[in-house]
Amino acid sequence: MNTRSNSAAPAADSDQLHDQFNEVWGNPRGWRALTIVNHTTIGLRFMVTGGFFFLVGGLLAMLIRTQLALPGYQLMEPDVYNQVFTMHGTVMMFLFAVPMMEGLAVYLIPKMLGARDLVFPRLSALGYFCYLFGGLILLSSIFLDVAPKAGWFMYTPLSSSAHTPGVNSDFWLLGITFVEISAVSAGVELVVSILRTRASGMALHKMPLYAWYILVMAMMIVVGFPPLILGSILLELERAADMPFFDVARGGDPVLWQHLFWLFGHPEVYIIFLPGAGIVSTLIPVFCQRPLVGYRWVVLGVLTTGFISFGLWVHHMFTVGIPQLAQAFFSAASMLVAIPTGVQIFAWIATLWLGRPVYRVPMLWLVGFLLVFVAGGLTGVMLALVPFNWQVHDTHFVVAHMHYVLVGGMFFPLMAGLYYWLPHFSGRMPSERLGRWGFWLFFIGFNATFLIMHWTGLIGMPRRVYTYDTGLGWDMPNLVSSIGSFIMAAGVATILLDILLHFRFGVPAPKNPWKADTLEWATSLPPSAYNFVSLPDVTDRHPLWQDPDLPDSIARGEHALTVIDHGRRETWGVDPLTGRTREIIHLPGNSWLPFITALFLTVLCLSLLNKVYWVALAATIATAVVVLRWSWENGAHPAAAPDAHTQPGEPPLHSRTFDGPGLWGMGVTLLADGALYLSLLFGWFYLWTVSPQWRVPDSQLNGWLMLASALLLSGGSFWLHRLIKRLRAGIHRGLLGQLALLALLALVQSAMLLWLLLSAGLAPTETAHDAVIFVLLAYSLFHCALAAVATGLQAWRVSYGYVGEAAPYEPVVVEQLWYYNLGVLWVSYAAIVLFPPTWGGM
Amino acid sequence: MKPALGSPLHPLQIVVGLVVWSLWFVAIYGGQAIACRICPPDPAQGVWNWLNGSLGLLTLLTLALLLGLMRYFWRLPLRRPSLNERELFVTKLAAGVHLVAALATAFVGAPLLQLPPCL
Repeated sequence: MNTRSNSAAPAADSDQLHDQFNEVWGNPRGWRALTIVNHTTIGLRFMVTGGFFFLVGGLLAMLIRTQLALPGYQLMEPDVYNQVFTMHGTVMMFLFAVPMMEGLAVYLIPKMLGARDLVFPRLSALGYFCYLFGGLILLSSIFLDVAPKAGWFMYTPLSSSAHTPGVNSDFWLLGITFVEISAVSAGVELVVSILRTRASGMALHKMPLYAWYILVMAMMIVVGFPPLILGSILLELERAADMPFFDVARGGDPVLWQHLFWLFGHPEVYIIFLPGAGIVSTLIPVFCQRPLVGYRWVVLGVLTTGFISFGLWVHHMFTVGIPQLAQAFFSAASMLVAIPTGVQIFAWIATLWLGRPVYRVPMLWLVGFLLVFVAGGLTGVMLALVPFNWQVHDTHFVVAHMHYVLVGGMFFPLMAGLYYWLPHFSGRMPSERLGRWGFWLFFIGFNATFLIMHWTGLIGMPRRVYTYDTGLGWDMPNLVSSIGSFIMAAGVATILLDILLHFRFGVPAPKNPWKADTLEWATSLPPSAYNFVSLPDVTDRHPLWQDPDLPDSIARGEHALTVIDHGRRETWGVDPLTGRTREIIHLPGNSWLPFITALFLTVLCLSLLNKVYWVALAATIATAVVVLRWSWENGAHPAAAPDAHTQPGEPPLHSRTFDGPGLWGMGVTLLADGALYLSLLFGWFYLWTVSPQWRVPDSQLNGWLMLASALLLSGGSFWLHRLIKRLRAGIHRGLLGQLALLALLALVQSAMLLWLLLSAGLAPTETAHDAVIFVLLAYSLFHCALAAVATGLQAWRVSYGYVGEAAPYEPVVVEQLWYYNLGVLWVSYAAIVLFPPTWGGM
Repeated sequence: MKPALGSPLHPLQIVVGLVVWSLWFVAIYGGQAIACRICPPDPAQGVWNWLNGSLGLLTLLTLALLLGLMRYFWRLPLRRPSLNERELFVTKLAAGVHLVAALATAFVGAPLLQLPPCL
C-alpha cells in the first residue's frame, strides 16, 4: 500500500541525501541552539522542563505531607504552608501536567502522522520560551517569600488586593497568563498540524488514535483556556488598576471569578486526561499485538468527552448557592461524562482480552492506570451527586479523588509512554528490573497516600489546614498518608535513576523495538531533525504492521518529497478529510525571533509585576516590532521560500495557493479569541443579572458613534471581500492601492472607537458596569487597530512582490480578522447600546 | 472532490450533534438563571410552571432534532450505496454523535420533570 514516488531520489544516493537534508534541517549548537524551532528539540525541551517542574511540585508535596504527618507539627508557619500548597497545585497543573502532555504531543504528532515538522515551528519555539520564562518567574516567588497563597484556583475575594495585598497573587496572574501563551499556541499548532500535515493518503479514519485524542485535547485548550486568561486579566486589572469586576460593593461579584475559573478548570482535567488516554490507546494494541477494539467507538467516546466536559464546571460550585434545578443539570452532566470514558475503558479491556498482552514495564503502568483511574472515576460519580458533594466538600476526600483522577489519568499513562518511547529519546532500552522497582514503589506509595485520604476526608478533615489537633481520629490516617508519600517519592527517585542510567548502560534499541504499528517507529533512533528523508503514502491504520520494511524504504529515500537542493524545509499539506496531498507546505528554518519575542514578553511580565509601566509600554512596543518582523519573513519572502519551483507532478507551494496552514492557524486562533470574548460577554450579562449591587451609572456613551464605526467596518469588510473575490478570479490590478486604502479605513474606524472610549465619560474604577464597558471597547479597539496594521503590511508586501497574483494567500488570512472584528463590534454594540434600555439601564 | 460545508459528508458533520447539545445546555442553564431573576414562577406550582414548561419544550424540540438527524445519518448509506469507506466513517460517526447528544439531552433535561426552577 505504501507506494514509491516517481520523484524519489535514487536509493544509492541515500547517504548523500541524508547529508543534504541535514544541511537544511540540522540543529546548530552552542548559543545558536536557542534558534532551533524543530519539533523534536522543542518537544524534548518541553518534557525536560516539565520533568524539572514535576520534581519541584513533588518537593512541595513532600513538605505538605511532612507538615501534616503529626498533629500540631510545626514545620512551616501557616503563611508559608499556604504558599506551599498553592504552589504545589499551580506547579503541577500549569507547569507540569499540561506542558508535559503538550510537549509529548509536539514531539510525537508529526512523527506519527508521517510529517517532518509541525506547521508553525517558530510558534512552537515561542511557546516553549514563554513556558520556561513564565514558569521561572512564578517559581522565583517561592524564593522571594512572595509566592501565591490563595489556592491554585485563586478564589476572590481572598486573592483580591484587600485580602492579599502583596504581589503574591500578581505572580500567579501574570506568570500563569504568560505560561498560557504557550498552552494556547501549542493548541493552535497541534489542531492545524493534525488536520493539514498528515502523510499522503492518511484519511481522517486512518489516523492513529493518539492523533484523535490530541486533536480533541488541542481544541479543548483553544476553547477552554481563554476563560481563565480573561479571568486573570480582569483580576489583575482589579488588583493593579482598581477596576471592580469582583467587588460586590461596586457592582462586581466574586462568584464570576469562580465561573470563569471552572469554565477552564473542569475541561482542564480532561485536557490532561485525554492525552494520557491517547497513550493508553496507542500502547495497549502494541503490547497485545492486535488493533484496538472499537476504533470508531473510541473516537466517539473521545469527542463526547471533549464536549460534555464543558458542561460540568458548576459541580465545583455546588455549595455556592445555585438553584437546585441548575445543580441537577450539572449533576446529570457530571454523571454522564463517565459513560464515554467507560466506553474507552471497555475498548481497552476487550483488546487486552482478545490479545496476548506482554507485561513489560510500560504495561505495568497501564494496568496501574486502569486500577487507579477507574477508582478515581467512581469517586467522581459520587461527587457528582449533590447531597454527597455537600457533605465532603472541602475535605480530604476531594483531594484524594482529584489525585486518583489526575495521577491515575495522567501520570500513570505518562510513565507508560515515557518507558515506551525512551528508545526514541536515547536510542537505548530501559532496564526492566529498576523499571519494575520504580513502578511498584510508586504504586504502593500512591495508594498508601491517597486511598487512606478518602477516609481522612470522610471523617471530616478539611483541606488547606496547616495543622490539626490530636484526638479527632485524623492522626493515624495522616501518618500513613505521609509515609506513603515518601514511598512514592522513592519510586520517583528509582524511575529517575533508571532513566539516567539507561543513557549510559541501556542496551542499544533495535529497529522498532516493541513491534509497534505507528509511524514514529519508522524514524531512526534517536530521530533526525527531519524525521523522514522521504514521505510515504499511508492508507492503513497500522502502517508498520502492514509493511515492516517501511522504515528502510523511507531511509533509502524511496518515497516522496526527497528533493532538497532548493533549501526549503517541506512537508505535505493534505486535505483534512481524505488525506490527499493538496500542496507542499514550506516551513521556516531556525530563527532568533521566538527567543527575542519571549525575552521582551518576559520584560513586560516583570515590569507589570513591579508596576513599572513605562518599561511595560516599551516592552510591548518592542514585542510588536519583533512580531511584525516575524510576520514579514513569511509566505513568498525569500527567507521563507528561497525558490518557488517544485518538481514536475508535485503540487504547488502553499504560499502560492489560496489555502495553507496560516489560514487555518488564523481560524483556530480566532476561535480561541472568540472564546475569550464570549467569556467577557458572559461576564457582562452575568453581572447585569446576578450581581447583588449592580449599578448602572448615567452614561455618555455615544451610541451613534459606535454605530457609525460598526457601519464603516461593515463597508470595509465588504470591500475586502470583493477585493479577494477578484484576486481569486486572477485579477490583481490595483491590489496595493486598495489594500492601502483599506488599512486607512481601518485606522479611521479604530480612531472612532478610541474617540468613543475617551468621550464616554466612563468611571471604570467606580462601577463594574463601566469597567466591563471599558474592557469591551478596548478589546474591539485593539483588534481593529491590529487589522489596520495587518492590512497596511499586506499593501507593503504587495509593493515588494511578496503578495500578488503569484502569491495570493495572505490577504485571505487577514480577511478572517476583519470578519471577526465585524462580528465582535456588532455584538458589542448590541450588548452595551441596544440591550441596556430593554433591561432598565441607560 | 472536496465536500461542501453543508454536505452530509463534510467532516464537520461529525461534531454537529454535540454542538447542538452544547447550545441547548447553555440555553437551559442561562435561560433558567435569567428567568429566575426576572419573573420566577410561584414555588407552589412545583414543576408545572411556565419556565419548566418552556425549557421542557425546548428540550423536546432539541431531542427531536437530534434524533431526526441521527436517523438521517444512519440511513444515508442506504440511500447512497456508493459511499466509500471514508464517507461511511463520517456518516456512521455523525449518527453516533447525534445519538449520544440526544441521550445526553434527555438525561440532563430529565430534572425538569422533578425540580422547580428557582429554589
